[in-house]
Amino acid sequence: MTKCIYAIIDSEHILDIDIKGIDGYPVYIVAYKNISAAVSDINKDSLKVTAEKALVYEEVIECLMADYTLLPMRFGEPVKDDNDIIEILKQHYDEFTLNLTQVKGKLEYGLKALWDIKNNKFETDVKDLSKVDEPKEGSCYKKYLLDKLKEHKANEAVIKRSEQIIESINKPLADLSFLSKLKKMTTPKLVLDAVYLVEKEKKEIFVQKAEELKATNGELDFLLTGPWPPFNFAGNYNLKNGSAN
Amino acid sequence: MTDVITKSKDVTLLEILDRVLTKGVVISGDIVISIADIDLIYLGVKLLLSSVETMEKYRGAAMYSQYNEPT
Repeated sequence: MTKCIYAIIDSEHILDIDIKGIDGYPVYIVAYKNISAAVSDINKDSLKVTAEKALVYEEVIECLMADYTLLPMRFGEPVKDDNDIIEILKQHYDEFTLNLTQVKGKLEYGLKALWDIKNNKFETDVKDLSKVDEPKEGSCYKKYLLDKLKEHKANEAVIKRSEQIIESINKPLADLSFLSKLKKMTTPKLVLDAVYLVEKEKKEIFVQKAEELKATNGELDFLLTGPWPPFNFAGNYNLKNGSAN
Repeated sequence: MTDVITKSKDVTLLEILDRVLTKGVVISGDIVISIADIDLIYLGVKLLLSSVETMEKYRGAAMYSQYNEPT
């Protein structure tokens, strides 16, 4: 039998909610001082990834989130028994309590903004910005270089436009957040991929602001999801170098 | 999930998979466990599902201390 840790929670008291984990085993806690790991038994091969197991895993964490501040554990982190779990809690007690304090009373939201680079508006913008005078006469080599220059300028224009968009969308949302992280142009279509840690009392304002930004950026597709458990703000704990991120 | 802005099932599944599989707390590396104040058994957390024999081959030496005679 193996154990699966779902989350680190800010309580040492026995769970007063009945939750079934992966493989239908009950979720219980293993406590150390004033924190605990929410755990269940799992069958040996059960940490192989399937969509169904990932959904069950997420549902367990969401159930816990309703009553506890927590740091979600990444799926697929098996442990042998409760003694291992206590050792983990003991060794990382300071980092866990610090990060629990950080995420307490807050929710994670995710925002993806997508654009269609072939959209007429952008194409016009790119053409305007990348206008290069055609040579009156010249060899095929000159034409090749000029084509390359146009391509370079077009790419520069796209990058400049994407930076403008990212700034106009991300800044107002980041200003409403306790913490935020973002990735730019992960793919040619995904201009912004951001996550925000928002205080609960600000969640309505945050969502309203996102809706306003969507309305004023009609050329973009917005994907706003949440609230999530704080997966992106839980920290990583690498025992090999003793650091926490 | 409450308050989800988008109701698309496929999109939600992707978002869930992205989070549970690539984010969250990761505990990697080895931990040292003291059991009954006698042995220190050094286990690779990510190798907990392998057999003792596999572990011994990997480490090139017996896992057990002088207090346990190898079988």
